[in-house]
Amino acid sequence: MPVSILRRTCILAIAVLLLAGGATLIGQRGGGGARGARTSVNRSFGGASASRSFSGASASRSTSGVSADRNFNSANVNRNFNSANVNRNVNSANVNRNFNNVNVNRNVNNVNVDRDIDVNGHYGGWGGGCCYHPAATAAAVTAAAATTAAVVGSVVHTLPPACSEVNVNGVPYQQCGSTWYQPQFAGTTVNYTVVNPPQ
Amino acid sequence: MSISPRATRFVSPIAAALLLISCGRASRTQQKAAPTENPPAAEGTTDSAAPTTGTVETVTPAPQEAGGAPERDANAIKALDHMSAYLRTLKSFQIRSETTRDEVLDNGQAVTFAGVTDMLVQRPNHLRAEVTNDKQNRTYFYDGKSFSLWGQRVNYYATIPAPPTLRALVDVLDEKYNVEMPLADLFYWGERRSADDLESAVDVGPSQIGGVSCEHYAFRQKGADWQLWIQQGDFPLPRKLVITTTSDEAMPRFSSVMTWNLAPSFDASAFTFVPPKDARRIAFVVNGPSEVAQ
Repeated sequence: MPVSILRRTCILAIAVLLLAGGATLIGQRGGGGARGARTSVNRSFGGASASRSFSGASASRSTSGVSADRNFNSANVNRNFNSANVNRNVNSANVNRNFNNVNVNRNVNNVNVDRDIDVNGHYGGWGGGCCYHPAATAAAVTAAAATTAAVVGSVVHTLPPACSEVNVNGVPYQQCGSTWYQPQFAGTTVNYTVVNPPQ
Repeated sequence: MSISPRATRFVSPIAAALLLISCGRASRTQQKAAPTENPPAAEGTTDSAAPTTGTVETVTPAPQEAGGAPERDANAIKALDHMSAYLRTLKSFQIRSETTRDEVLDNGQAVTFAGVTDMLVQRPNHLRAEVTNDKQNRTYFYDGKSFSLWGQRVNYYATIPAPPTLRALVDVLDEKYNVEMPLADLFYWGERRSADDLESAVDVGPSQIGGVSCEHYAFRQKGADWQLWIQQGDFPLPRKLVITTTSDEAMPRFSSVMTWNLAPSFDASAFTFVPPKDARRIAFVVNGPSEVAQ
Protein backbone atom coordinates (compact mmCIF):
# COMPACT_ATOMS: atom_id res chain seq x y z
CA MET A 1 0.00 0.00 0.00
CA PRO A 2 1.46 3.37 -0.91
CA VAL A 3 2.48 5.42 2.03
CA SER A 4 0.05 8.24 1.39
CA ILE A 5 -3.00 6.03 1.29
CA LEU A 6 -1.91 4.18 4.34
CA ARG A 7 -1.45 7.38 6.18
CA ARG A 8 -4.75 8.77 5.12
CA THR A 9 -6.54 5.65 6.20
CA CYS A 10 -4.89 5.76 9.54
CA ILE A 11 -5.74 9.38 10.05
CA LEU A 12 -9.34 8.76 9.24
CA ALA A 13 -9.48 5.90 11.64
CA ILE A 14 -7.98 8.02 14.33
CA ALA A 15 -10.42 10.78 13.72
CA VAL A 16 -13.35 8.43 13.87
CA LEU A 17 -12.16 6.89 17.07
CA LEU A 18 -11.62 10.21 18.69
CA LEU A 19 -15.02 11.35 17.65
CA ALA A 20 -16.59 8.28 19.10
CA GLY A 21 -14.74 8.87 22.30
CA GLY A 22 -15.83 12.44 22.43
CA ALA A 23 -19.41 11.56 22.00
CA THR A 24 -19.50 9.21 24.92
CA LEU A 25 -17.41 11.44 27.04
CA ILE A 26 -19.94 14.14 27.35
CA GLY A 27 -22.64 11.77 28.43
CA GLN A 28 -20.62 10.61 31.33
CA ARG A 29 -20.34 14.05 32.69
CA GLY A 30 -23.95 14.80 32.60
CA GLY A 31 -24.75 15.14 36.22
CA GLY A 32 -23.88 18.73 36.53
CA GLY A 33 -21.14 18.05 38.97
CA ALA A 34 -18.17 17.33 36.81
CA ARG A 35 -15.19 18.08 38.95
CA GLY A 36 -16.16 20.48 41.63
CA ALA A 37 -16.66 21.10 45.27
CA ARG A 38 -18.93 18.69 47.05
CA THR A 39 -21.99 20.31 48.48
CA SER A 40 -22.76 17.98 51.34
CA VAL A 41 -20.79 16.53 54.20
CA ASN A 42 -23.34 13.90 55.02
CA ARG A 43 -23.45 12.20 51.72
CA SER A 44 -20.69 9.68 51.86
CA PHE A 45 -19.28 11.10 48.69
CA GLY A 46 -19.88 7.70 47.29
CA GLY A 47 -22.30 7.06 44.52
CA ALA A 48 -22.56 9.35 41.65
CA SER A 49 -20.89 12.44 42.86
CA ALA A 50 -17.90 10.63 44.16
CA SER A 51 -17.12 8.78 41.03
CA ARG A 52 -17.67 11.89 39.07
CA SER A 53 -15.24 13.83 41.08
CA PHE A 54 -12.66 11.19 41.37
CA SER A 55 -12.68 10.26 37.75
CA GLY A 56 -11.75 13.73 36.74
CA ALA A 57 -9.58 14.52 39.64
CA SER A 58 -6.14 13.96 40.81
CA ALA A 59 -5.77 10.33 40.00
CA SER A 60 -4.79 10.79 36.44
CA ARG A 61 -3.64 14.29 36.06
CA SER A 62 -0.22 13.72 37.36
CA THR A 63 0.27 10.15 36.34
CA SER A 64 0.45 9.60 32.67
CA GLY A 65 -1.99 7.22 31.25
CA VAL A 66 -3.61 6.08 34.40
CA SER A 67 -6.96 7.22 33.27
CA ALA A 68 -7.58 7.30 29.61
CA ASP A 69 -10.46 9.58 30.02
CA ARG A 70 -8.38 12.18 31.69
CA ASN A 71 -5.75 12.10 29.07
CA PHE A 72 -8.31 12.18 26.46
CA ASN A 73 -9.65 15.32 27.92
CA SER A 74 -6.50 17.16 28.31
CA ALA A 75 -3.06 16.89 27.01
CA ASN A 76 -2.90 14.12 24.58
CA VAL A 77 -5.77 14.52 22.31
CA ASN A 78 -5.04 18.09 21.82
CA ARG A 79 -1.44 17.60 21.39
CA ASN A 80 -2.06 15.07 18.73
CA PHE A 81 -4.38 17.25 16.90
CA ASN A 82 -2.18 20.22 17.08
CA SER A 83 0.95 18.49 16.09
CA ALA A 84 1.96 18.83 12.54
CA ASN A 85 1.29 15.47 10.99
CA VAL A 86 -2.12 14.80 12.18
CA ASN A 87 -3.43 18.19 11.73
CA ARG A 88 -2.50 18.45 8.16
CA ASN A 89 -4.21 15.29 7.32
CA VAL A 90 -7.22 15.66 9.45
CA ASN A 91 -7.99 18.78 7.55
CA SER A 92 -8.88 16.83 4.53
CA ALA A 93 -11.21 14.68 6.50
CA ASN A 94 -13.39 17.58 7.46
CA VAL A 95 -12.62 17.16 11.07
CA ASN A 96 -10.27 19.96 11.55
CA ARG A 97 -12.60 22.51 10.27
CA ASN A 98 -14.61 22.04 13.35
CA PHE A 99 -11.66 22.39 15.52
CA ASN A 100 -10.66 25.67 14.14
CA ASN A 101 -13.86 27.49 13.73
CA VAL A 102 -16.46 28.78 16.07
CA ASN A 103 -17.89 25.43 16.87
CA VAL A 104 -14.92 24.60 18.91
CA ASN A 105 -15.42 27.37 21.26
CA ARG A 106 -19.02 26.77 21.76
CA ASN A 107 -18.71 23.13 22.49
CA VAL A 108 -15.56 23.38 24.42
CA ASN A 109 -17.21 25.60 26.85
CA ASN A 110 -20.09 23.33 27.11
CA VAL A 111 -17.89 20.54 28.17
CA ASN A 112 -15.80 22.23 30.71
CA VAL A 113 -17.54 25.10 32.24
CA ASP A 114 -20.50 26.03 30.24
CA ARG A 115 -21.71 22.56 29.91
CA ASP A 116 -24.84 22.75 31.95
CA ILE A 117 -25.87 26.23 31.21
CA ASP A 118 -29.34 26.41 29.87
CA VAL A 119 -29.12 26.92 26.19
CA ASN A 120 -32.14 27.32 24.07
CA GLY A 121 -31.72 25.07 21.10
CA HIS A 122 -33.12 27.64 18.81
CA TYR A 123 -30.26 29.92 19.11
CA GLY A 124 -27.89 27.13 18.67
CA GLY A 125 -25.79 27.75 21.66
CA TRP A 126 -24.92 31.34 20.99
CA GLY A 127 -25.91 34.08 23.28
CA GLY A 128 -27.31 31.85 25.92
CA GLY A 129 -24.18 31.04 27.77
CA CYS A 130 -21.69 32.57 30.01
CA CYS A 131 -18.31 31.83 31.21
CA TYR A 132 -16.18 31.43 28.16
CA HIS A 133 -12.62 30.79 29.00
CA PRO A 134 -9.44 29.91 27.21
CA ALA A 135 -8.39 27.01 29.36
CA ALA A 136 -10.86 24.68 27.86
CA THR A 137 -9.49 24.02 24.42
CA ALA A 138 -8.62 20.52 25.44
CA ALA A 139 -12.01 19.07 24.95
CA ALA A 140 -12.42 20.34 21.46
CA VAL A 141 -12.97 16.85 20.26
CA THR A 142 -16.55 16.97 21.32
CA ALA A 143 -17.09 19.86 19.00
CA ALA A 144 -16.62 17.63 16.06
CA ALA A 145 -18.83 15.04 17.59
CA ALA A 146 -21.57 17.54 17.94
CA THR A 147 -21.51 18.83 14.44
CA THR A 148 -20.12 16.26 12.10
CA ALA A 149 -20.57 12.86 13.60
CA ALA A 150 -24.21 12.58 14.42
CA VAL A 151 -23.83 9.10 15.74
CA VAL A 152 -27.00 7.71 17.16
CA GLY A 153 -26.59 7.48 20.88
CA SER A 154 -24.06 10.27 21.16
CA VAL A 155 -24.87 13.06 23.55
CA VAL A 156 -24.35 16.78 23.22
CA HIS A 157 -25.13 19.74 25.41
CA THR A 158 -25.70 22.17 22.61
CA LEU A 159 -27.66 21.75 19.46
CA PRO A 160 -26.36 22.84 16.10
CA PRO A 161 -28.01 25.92 14.65
CA ALA A 162 -31.33 25.85 12.91
CA CYS A 163 -33.23 23.12 14.67
CA SER A 164 -36.92 22.85 15.03
CA GLU A 165 -38.86 21.11 17.70
CA VAL A 166 -41.09 18.30 16.58
CA ASN A 167 -43.36 16.66 19.08
CA VAL A 168 -43.77 12.96 18.42
CA ASN A 169 -45.78 10.94 20.90
CA GLY A 170 -45.23 13.51 23.57
CA VAL A 171 -41.49 13.66 23.13
CA PRO A 172 -40.17 17.09 22.15
CA TYR A 173 -37.54 16.05 19.63
CA GLN A 174 -35.26 18.57 18.03
CA GLN A 175 -34.77 18.07 14.34
CA CYS A 176 -31.60 19.61 13.04
CA GLY A 177 -31.32 18.89 9.37
CA SER A 178 -31.43 15.14 9.06
CA THR A 179 -30.35 14.59 12.64
CA TRP A 180 -32.82 14.09 15.46
CA TYR A 181 -32.10 14.82 19.08
CA GLN A 182 -34.01 13.82 22.16
CA PRO A 183 -33.64 16.16 25.13
CA GLN A 184 -33.28 14.74 28.61
CA PHE A 185 -32.23 15.69 32.10
CA ALA A 186 -28.85 14.33 33.10
CA GLY A 187 -29.03 15.35 36.71
CA THR A 188 -30.30 18.89 36.51
CA THR A 189 -28.58 19.47 33.19
CA VAL A 190 -30.37 19.27 29.89
CA ASN A 191 -28.55 17.43 27.16
CA TYR A 192 -29.49 15.93 23.84
CA THR A 193 -29.07 12.40 22.59
CA VAL A 194 -28.89 11.70 18.88
CA VAL A 195 -31.68 9.30 18.02
CA ASN A 196 -33.05 7.66 14.94
CA PRO A 197 -35.81 9.66 13.32
CA PRO A 198 -38.96 8.91 15.29
CA GLN A 199 -41.62 6.95 13.49
CA MET B 1 -22.33 4.53 36.33
CA SER B 2 -22.37 1.42 34.30
CA ILE B 3 -19.18 -0.13 33.17
CA SER B 4 -19.67 -0.26 29.46
CA PRO B 5 -19.85 3.42 28.53
CA ARG B 6 -16.85 4.06 30.65
CA ALA B 7 -15.08 1.29 28.89
CA THR B 8 -15.82 2.72 25.47
CA ARG B 9 -14.66 6.02 26.62
CA PHE B 10 -11.41 4.56 27.71
CA VAL B 11 -10.92 2.34 24.78
CA SER B 12 -11.42 4.72 21.93
CA PRO B 13 -8.84 7.28 22.85
CA ILE B 14 -6.40 4.56 23.66
CA ALA B 15 -7.09 2.86 20.42
CA ALA B 16 -6.75 6.13 18.62
CA ALA B 17 -3.44 6.79 20.24
CA LEU B 18 -2.17 3.35 19.44
CA LEU B 19 -3.31 3.70 15.88
CA LEU B 20 -1.57 6.97 15.66
CA ILE B 21 1.59 5.43 16.88
CA SER B 22 1.41 2.47 14.62
CA CYS B 23 0.51 4.61 11.65
CA GLY B 24 3.43 6.87 12.28
CA ARG B 25 5.65 3.90 12.69
CA ALA B 26 4.34 2.20 9.59
CA SER B 27 4.97 5.12 7.34
CA ARG B 28 8.34 5.71 8.85
CA THR B 29 9.42 2.17 8.36
CA GLN B 30 8.10 2.12 4.86
CA GLN B 31 10.04 5.18 4.01
CA LYS B 32 13.17 3.75 5.41
CA ALA B 33 12.36 0.42 3.85
CA ALA B 34 13.90 -1.14 6.87
CA PRO B 35 11.25 -3.32 8.44
CA THR B 36 12.31 -3.51 12.01
CA GLU B 37 9.45 -5.28 13.66
CA ASN B 38 8.72 -4.84 17.29
CA PRO B 39 10.79 -1.83 17.95
CA PRO B 40 11.51 -1.30 21.60
CA ALA B 41 8.48 0.09 23.37
CA ALA B 42 7.48 2.75 20.93
CA GLU B 43 9.02 6.04 21.79
CA GLY B 44 6.81 8.84 22.84
CA THR B 45 3.96 6.64 23.81
CA THR B 46 4.25 6.70 27.51
CA ASP B 47 2.23 9.79 27.99
CA SER B 48 -0.52 8.93 25.62
CA ALA B 49 -1.61 5.38 25.87
CA ALA B 50 0.14 2.94 28.06
CA PRO B 51 -0.73 2.98 31.71
CA THR B 52 2.72 1.73 32.33
CA THR B 53 4.82 1.88 35.36
CA GLY B 54 3.66 5.17 36.78
CA THR B 55 2.68 4.72 40.34
CA VAL B 56 -0.97 5.37 40.76
CA GLU B 57 -1.29 8.36 42.93
CA THR B 58 -3.73 7.87 45.70
CA VAL B 59 -6.67 10.13 45.42
CA THR B 60 -7.07 10.80 49.06
CA PRO B 61 -4.24 12.57 50.72
CA ALA B 62 -2.68 10.87 53.65
CA PRO B 63 -4.21 11.83 56.93
CA GLN B 64 -2.61 15.02 57.96
CA GLU B 65 -1.47 14.49 61.42
CA ALA B 66 1.59 16.59 61.23
CA GLY B 67 0.19 18.95 63.79
CA GLY B 68 -0.06 16.24 66.38
CA ALA B 69 -3.02 14.16 67.42
CA PRO B 70 -6.29 15.23 65.85
CA GLU B 71 -8.41 17.25 68.17
CA ARG B 72 -11.97 16.19 68.81
CA ASP B 73 -13.49 18.84 70.92
CA ALA B 74 -16.43 17.26 72.73
CA ASN B 75 -18.22 20.58 72.86
CA ALA B 76 -17.98 21.06 69.12
CA ILE B 77 -19.47 17.64 68.54
CA LYS B 78 -22.13 18.33 71.10
CA ALA B 79 -23.00 21.58 69.36
CA LEU B 80 -23.41 19.71 66.11
CA ASP B 81 -25.70 17.18 67.76
CA HIS B 82 -27.64 19.91 69.46
CA MET B 83 -28.21 21.71 66.17
CA SER B 84 -29.23 18.46 64.48
CA ALA B 85 -31.74 17.67 67.18
CA TYR B 86 -33.16 21.15 66.89
CA LEU B 87 -33.48 20.89 63.12
CA ARG B 88 -35.52 17.76 63.56
CA THR B 89 -38.07 19.61 65.63
CA LEU B 90 -38.85 22.03 62.81
CA LYS B 91 -42.09 21.19 61.11
CA SER B 92 -41.80 23.73 58.37
CA PHE B 93 -39.25 26.29 57.41
CA GLN B 94 -38.09 28.47 54.62
CA ILE B 95 -34.47 29.10 53.76
CA ARG B 96 -32.75 31.47 51.46
CA SER B 97 -29.22 30.38 50.77
CA GLU B 98 -26.57 32.43 49.04
CA THR B 99 -24.32 29.85 47.55
CA THR B 100 -20.97 29.65 45.87
CA ARG B 101 -19.46 26.51 44.44
CA ASP B 102 -16.08 25.97 42.85
CA GLU B 103 -15.57 23.91 39.77
CA VAL B 104 -12.16 22.84 38.65
CA LEU B 105 -10.98 23.53 35.15
CA ASP B 106 -8.88 21.03 33.29
CA ASN B 107 -5.81 23.04 34.14
CA GLY B 108 -6.51 22.53 37.83
CA GLN B 109 -7.75 26.02 38.50
CA ALA B 110 -10.87 26.40 40.60
CA VAL B 111 -13.44 28.92 39.47
CA THR B 112 -16.39 29.98 41.55
CA PHE B 113 -20.01 30.05 40.52
CA ALA B 114 -22.62 31.87 42.52
CA GLY B 115 -26.24 31.13 43.08
CA VAL B 116 -29.26 31.51 45.27
CA THR B 117 -31.50 28.77 46.62
CA ASP B 118 -34.94 29.46 47.96
CA MET B 119 -36.40 26.48 49.70
CA LEU B 120 -39.68 25.83 51.46
CA VAL B 121 -39.95 22.64 53.47
CA GLN B 122 -42.81 21.04 55.28
CA ARG B 123 -41.77 17.88 56.99
CA PRO B 124 -41.84 15.09 56.39
CA ASN B 125 -42.72 15.07 52.73
CA HIS B 126 -43.17 18.43 51.09
CA LEU B 127 -40.59 20.62 49.47
CA ARG B 128 -40.29 23.32 46.92
CA ALA B 129 -36.94 24.74 45.99
CA GLU B 130 -35.89 27.21 43.43
CA VAL B 131 -32.24 27.24 42.48
CA THR B 132 -30.87 30.06 40.41
CA ASN B 133 -27.22 30.22 39.55
CA ASP B 134 -24.90 31.35 36.82
CA LYS B 135 -25.90 28.44 34.69
CA GLN B 136 -29.38 27.33 35.44
CA ASN B 137 -32.72 28.08 36.86
CA ARG B 138 -34.36 24.99 38.31
CA THR B 139 -37.39 24.47 40.48
CA TYR B 140 -37.85 21.32 42.54
CA PHE B 141 -41.31 20.15 43.55
CA TYR B 142 -42.10 17.36 45.95
CA ASP B 143 -45.57 16.73 47.28
CA GLY B 144 -45.03 13.37 48.93
CA LYS B 145 -46.10 11.46 45.85
CA SER B 146 -44.08 12.71 42.96
CA PHE B 147 -41.03 14.76 42.30
CA SER B 148 -40.71 17.23 39.47
CA LEU B 149 -37.81 19.21 38.18
CA TRP B 150 -38.55 22.15 35.99
CA GLY B 151 -36.13 24.31 34.03
CA GLN B 152 -37.84 27.59 33.55
CA ARG B 153 -35.74 28.99 30.74
CA VAL B 154 -35.53 25.81 28.72
CA ASN B 155 -39.07 25.05 29.81
CA TYR B 156 -38.49 21.34 30.10
CA TYR B 157 -39.63 19.35 33.07
CA ALA B 158 -39.40 15.80 34.32
CA THR B 159 -41.67 14.09 36.79
CA ILE B 160 -41.02 10.85 38.61
CA PRO B 161 -42.83 8.94 41.33
CA ALA B 162 -41.26 9.77 44.67
CA PRO B 163 -40.68 7.95 47.95
CA PRO B 164 -42.81 8.97 50.93
CA THR B 165 -40.24 11.01 52.84
CA LEU B 166 -37.85 13.80 52.06
CA ARG B 167 -35.02 11.88 53.48
CA ALA B 168 -35.62 8.94 51.15
CA LEU B 169 -36.12 11.31 48.25
CA VAL B 170 -32.73 12.89 48.78
CA ASP B 171 -31.16 9.44 48.52
CA VAL B 172 -33.07 8.37 45.46
CA LEU B 173 -32.40 11.57 43.60
CA ASP B 174 -28.72 11.37 44.26
CA GLU B 175 -28.20 7.71 43.66
CA LYS B 176 -30.54 7.06 40.79
CA TYR B 177 -30.90 10.37 39.01
CA ASN B 178 -27.72 12.25 39.79
CA VAL B 179 -29.78 15.11 41.13
CA GLU B 180 -28.40 16.83 44.17
CA MET B 181 -30.98 18.14 46.54
CA PRO B 182 -29.99 21.67 47.43
CA LEU B 183 -28.71 21.89 51.00
CA ALA B 184 -28.99 18.14 51.32
CA ASP B 185 -27.20 18.21 54.64
CA LEU B 186 -30.25 19.73 56.27
CA PHE B 187 -32.05 16.47 55.68
CA TYR B 188 -29.26 14.33 56.98
CA TRP B 189 -28.08 16.09 60.05
CA GLY B 190 -29.37 14.27 63.04
CA GLU B 191 -30.80 11.45 61.02
CA ARG B 192 -27.90 9.39 60.01
CA ARG B 193 -24.51 10.64 60.79
CA SER B 194 -22.71 9.88 63.93
CA ALA B 195 -19.72 11.92 64.91
CA ASP B 196 -17.56 8.84 64.48
CA ASP B 197 -16.23 9.79 61.09
CA LEU B 198 -15.07 13.17 62.25
CA GLU B 199 -11.32 13.17 62.41
CA SER B 200 -11.26 16.50 64.07
CA ALA B 201 -13.72 18.94 65.62
CA VAL B 202 -12.79 22.38 66.85
CA ASP B 203 -14.65 25.33 68.30
CA VAL B 204 -13.09 28.26 66.48
CA GLY B 205 -14.93 30.96 68.38
CA PRO B 206 -17.73 33.50 68.12
CA SER B 207 -18.57 35.03 64.79
CA GLN B 208 -21.21 37.26 63.23
CA ILE B 209 -23.04 36.00 60.17
CA GLY B 210 -25.44 38.47 58.67
CA GLY B 211 -25.73 40.28 61.94
CA VAL B 212 -26.50 37.11 63.85
CA SER B 213 -24.26 35.94 66.65
CA CYS B 214 -22.94 32.48 65.87
CA GLU B 215 -20.35 30.06 67.08
CA HIS B 216 -17.89 28.97 64.45
CA TYR B 217 -16.83 25.32 64.30
CA ALA B 218 -14.36 23.49 62.11
CA PHE B 219 -14.61 19.81 61.32
CA ARG B 220 -12.49 17.44 59.34
CA GLN B 221 -13.50 14.16 57.83
CA LYS B 222 -12.17 11.99 55.09
CA GLY B 223 -12.13 14.00 51.90
CA ALA B 224 -13.55 17.18 53.35
CA ASP B 225 -12.76 19.98 55.73
CA TRP B 226 -15.87 21.85 56.69
CA GLN B 227 -16.92 24.75 58.80
CA LEU B 228 -20.23 25.46 60.36
CA TRP B 229 -21.55 28.61 61.95
CA ILE B 230 -24.34 27.81 64.40
CA GLN B 231 -26.60 30.49 65.75
CA GLN B 232 -26.11 31.15 69.43
CA GLY B 233 -29.02 31.01 71.84
CA ASP B 234 -32.30 29.16 71.75
CA PHE B 235 -32.41 28.63 68.01
CA PRO B 236 -29.28 26.72 67.09
CA LEU B 237 -29.65 26.98 63.34
CA PRO B 238 -26.88 26.51 60.82
CA ARG B 239 -26.20 29.97 59.44
CA LYS B 240 -23.24 29.26 57.27
CA LEU B 241 -21.59 26.17 55.88
CA VAL B 242 -18.29 25.97 54.04
CA ILE B 243 -17.06 22.68 52.63
CA THR B 244 -13.59 22.26 51.21
CA THR B 245 -13.14 19.14 49.14
CA THR B 246 -9.73 17.97 50.27
CA SER B 247 -9.72 14.87 48.12
CA ASP B 248 -9.18 17.15 45.16
CA GLU B 249 -5.83 18.86 45.02
CA ALA B 250 -7.48 22.04 43.77
CA MET B 251 -9.37 22.18 47.07
CA PRO B 252 -12.64 23.41 45.60
CA ARG B 253 -14.98 25.05 48.07
CA PHE B 254 -18.68 25.19 48.52
CA SER B 255 -20.24 27.85 50.64
CA SER B 256 -23.78 28.54 51.76
CA VAL B 257 -25.02 31.41 53.88
CA MET B 258 -28.51 30.70 55.12
CA THR B 259 -31.32 32.99 56.14
CA TRP B 260 -34.12 31.25 57.99
CA ASN B 261 -37.82 31.78 58.31
CA LEU B 262 -39.31 29.41 60.85
CA ALA B 263 -42.89 30.52 60.35
CA PRO B 264 -43.41 30.51 56.62
CA SER B 265 -46.82 31.04 55.15
CA PHE B 266 -47.60 28.95 52.14
CA ASP B 267 -50.30 27.25 50.24
CA ALA B 268 -50.35 23.48 49.93
CA SER B 269 -50.39 23.86 46.17
CA ALA B 270 -46.89 25.30 46.33
CA PHE B 271 -45.49 21.78 46.42
CA THR B 272 -47.26 20.41 43.39
CA PHE B 273 -45.98 21.08 39.95
CA VAL B 274 -48.53 22.19 37.42
CA PRO B 275 -46.71 22.37 34.11
CA PRO B 276 -47.13 25.61 32.24
CA LYS B 277 -48.99 25.16 29.01
CA ASP B 278 -45.94 25.36 26.82
CA ALA B 279 -43.64 23.29 29.04
CA ARG B 280 -42.46 20.03 27.54
CA ARG B 281 -41.92 16.87 29.48
CA ILE B 282 -38.67 15.00 29.11
CA ALA B 283 -37.07 12.11 30.97
CA PHE B 284 -34.24 11.76 33.44
CA VAL B 285 -31.14 9.82 32.58
CA VAL B 286 -31.06 7.03 35.12
CA ASN B 287 -27.89 5.66 36.64
CA GLY B 288 -27.24 2.04 35.99
CA PRO B 289 -27.98 -0.33 33.17
CA SER B 290 -30.97 1.40 31.66
CA GLU B 291 -30.15 4.70 30.10
CA VAL B 292 -33.29 6.75 30.20
CA ALA B 293 -36.34 6.65 32.41
CA GLN B 294 -39.55 6.86 30.52
